[in-house]
Amino acid sequence: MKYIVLVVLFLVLPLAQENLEKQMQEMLKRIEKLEKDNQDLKKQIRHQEIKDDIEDEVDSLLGDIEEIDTPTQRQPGDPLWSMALGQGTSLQLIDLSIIGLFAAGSSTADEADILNLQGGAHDPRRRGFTLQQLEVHGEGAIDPYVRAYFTYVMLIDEEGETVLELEEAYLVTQTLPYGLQLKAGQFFTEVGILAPHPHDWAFVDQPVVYSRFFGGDGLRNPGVSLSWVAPVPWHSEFIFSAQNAFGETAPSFLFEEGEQVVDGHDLVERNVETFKDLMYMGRWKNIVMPNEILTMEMAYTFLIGPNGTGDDTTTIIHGLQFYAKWKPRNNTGRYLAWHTEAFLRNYEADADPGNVNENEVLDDWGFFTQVIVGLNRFWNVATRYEYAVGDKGEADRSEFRDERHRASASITYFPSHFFNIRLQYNLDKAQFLGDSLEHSIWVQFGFVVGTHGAHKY
Amino acid sequence: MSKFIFIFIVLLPIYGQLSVVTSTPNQAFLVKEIGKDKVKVESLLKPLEDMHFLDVNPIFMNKLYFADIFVETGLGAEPWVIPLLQGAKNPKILRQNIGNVNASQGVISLGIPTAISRDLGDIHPQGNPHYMLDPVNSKTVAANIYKTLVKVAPQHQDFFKQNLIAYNKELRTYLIKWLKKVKPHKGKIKFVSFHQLWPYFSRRFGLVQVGTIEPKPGIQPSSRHIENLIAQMKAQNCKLIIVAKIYPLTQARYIASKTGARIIHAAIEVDGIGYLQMIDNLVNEVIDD
Repeated sequence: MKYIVLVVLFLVLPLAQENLEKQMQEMLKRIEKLEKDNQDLKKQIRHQEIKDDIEDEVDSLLGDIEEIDTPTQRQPGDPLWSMALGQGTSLQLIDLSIIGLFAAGSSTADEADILNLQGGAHDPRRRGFTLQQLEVHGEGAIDPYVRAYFTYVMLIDEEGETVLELEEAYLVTQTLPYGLQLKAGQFFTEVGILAPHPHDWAFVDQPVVYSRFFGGDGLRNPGVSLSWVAPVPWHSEFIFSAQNAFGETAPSFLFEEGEQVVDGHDLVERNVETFKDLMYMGRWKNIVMPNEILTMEMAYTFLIGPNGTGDDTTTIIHGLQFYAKWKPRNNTGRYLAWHTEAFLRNYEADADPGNVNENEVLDDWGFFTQVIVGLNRFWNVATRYEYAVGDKGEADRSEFRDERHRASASITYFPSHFFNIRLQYNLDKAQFLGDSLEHSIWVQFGFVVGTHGAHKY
Repeated sequence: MSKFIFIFIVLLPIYGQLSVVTSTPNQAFLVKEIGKDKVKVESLLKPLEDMHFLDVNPIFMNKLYFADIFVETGLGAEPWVIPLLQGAKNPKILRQNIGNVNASQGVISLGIPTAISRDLGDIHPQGNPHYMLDPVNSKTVAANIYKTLVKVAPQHQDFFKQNLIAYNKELRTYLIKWLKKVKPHKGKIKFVSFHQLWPYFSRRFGLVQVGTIEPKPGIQPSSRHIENLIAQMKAQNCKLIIVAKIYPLTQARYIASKTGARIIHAAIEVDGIGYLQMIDNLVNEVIDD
């Protein structure tokens, strides 16, 4: 019996042990699963807590997404005073800027000849240093209907005298219907595409044809101007202006008594008695953009007004302008601009009282063509060729009307948007210089203090 | 010519869509989200242009001449707006008039300078204008656009509101996703950028700005500034350089070669993708997902 029990135990025990091991393994598996479930549950809880936190944060940031007027939540750490400006309110009563241009340089021409070669009042006109201009410009809205602009210019002329000029002061309407706009006050006549202010040029000096026809300071006088933009898919604008014809800023017209514009014809005093004694301008400009990166402008200008050589003498000026700019639509600062303007002047000159000069019509014309290449955001290079001439024989032409050629090259560096340094070389050939060619080198520094103006196109 | 003008004027109302011109592509995207087929929208700036430096091109005046609504960034970011509006001769889109949207209205601006001087570079007295890089601000901008759309075309109010709410819902979903994603990284990702473009983005997503490649806004870096920046990055273990696509990579590449930092050349204006997708890409790139 004892042996039987031992045999049975010997046979059964391994089976029982096997079952026990199986049960233990199952239990371990269960424990592992339970632990895993427990971890997953903990994870889910944590995840839910984060999710709830983030959803709360997002809801707090966005507010009710169906409520339009919910303000954006204020962020902790925002200074309190930023709230007032940060809410989109700005103080913009007047934008002021001061723009300075200084030049230094030299020329192989005599000092007296430099004055004739550099005809612009803001050009460097003598060897050494020149304060070309210190311009104070301001603008702002007068009310919802009208904006005001003004520009004062100070300069030290070639004789060392300080000159202060009210260059422009005018109002422009903002709310006229049908694409109309009215300008009134003292303003530059829009004779061409070239901007009237020297700080917008690619060269240190004014084109010769501008100096001859529109004067050293540019054609400007009190008056009114009406412009109209046609409702067509390109930019087509008509401008008509009427301005006073007298003063040193209208040399092709009445100018000033005692001055000379053309070959010995003295100017007499002429008052404004009828509409014929004002200067009128009509201009039609068309700008097209055939593709994303190319803009082209073509314009025609017609000017008519009295001149001071007689009581009933008239000056007519025709102008044609073309401008093309290739500029990729990115921030590389690369561009290529080609700009050409040509003008023709018919000056009806009366005989002088002493009959030194017969009455005659004097025709002058001239042009400039320039290419400006933007290399990057900091550098540009430019080159320009100019020509101007008046009719009559060479012997009879004064230095105001003789044949002029000028070739220029410039390179400009812009360390920031508010400062630039320019180096320019001029090669001049003029009838009054005889056979000699004159070489000039100018360095210019320009700066802006105050409001940063928009870039011209 | 007169026949052409007549046909053009007659066809305009038949076409029937509101003409909206925006300063930036991001704003144009939001206008389209809300206005859908009721609007025809065009951005004056292209995605790779700097918002501060659009040329005053008369062609843009022509686009504004025909616009019912003009959306501008505000905060003094766009000095070209006034001359363009002046030349456009379209009273209804002038500032404070019915068709003008100052997109920044209601946005809390960051980076308002404590002093206003050009000693500080090309600063913005009203604060940093790159607020669209915080997607939360897009809700405010969208609301500003919606309000003007409703003023100009009240007959479509329900349609616009439905689209606005749909956008806000999508924004909420994305925002939850982004904030979850960046939560573990908050305060740990240090970066330098080319320009001070990222205060809104870094505040929202918890990035820490170590410096800028430009020493001051709009001022080119000197080699000494670059070397100082490299030293600063090494000292602070900064391994990320973010350069918006409108800026060159030259200096960033040099700095990366000295510090081992990774460069993100980031789109900041929509270009072929939606605004939320653009921010999504930015978030993913920043956390290197």
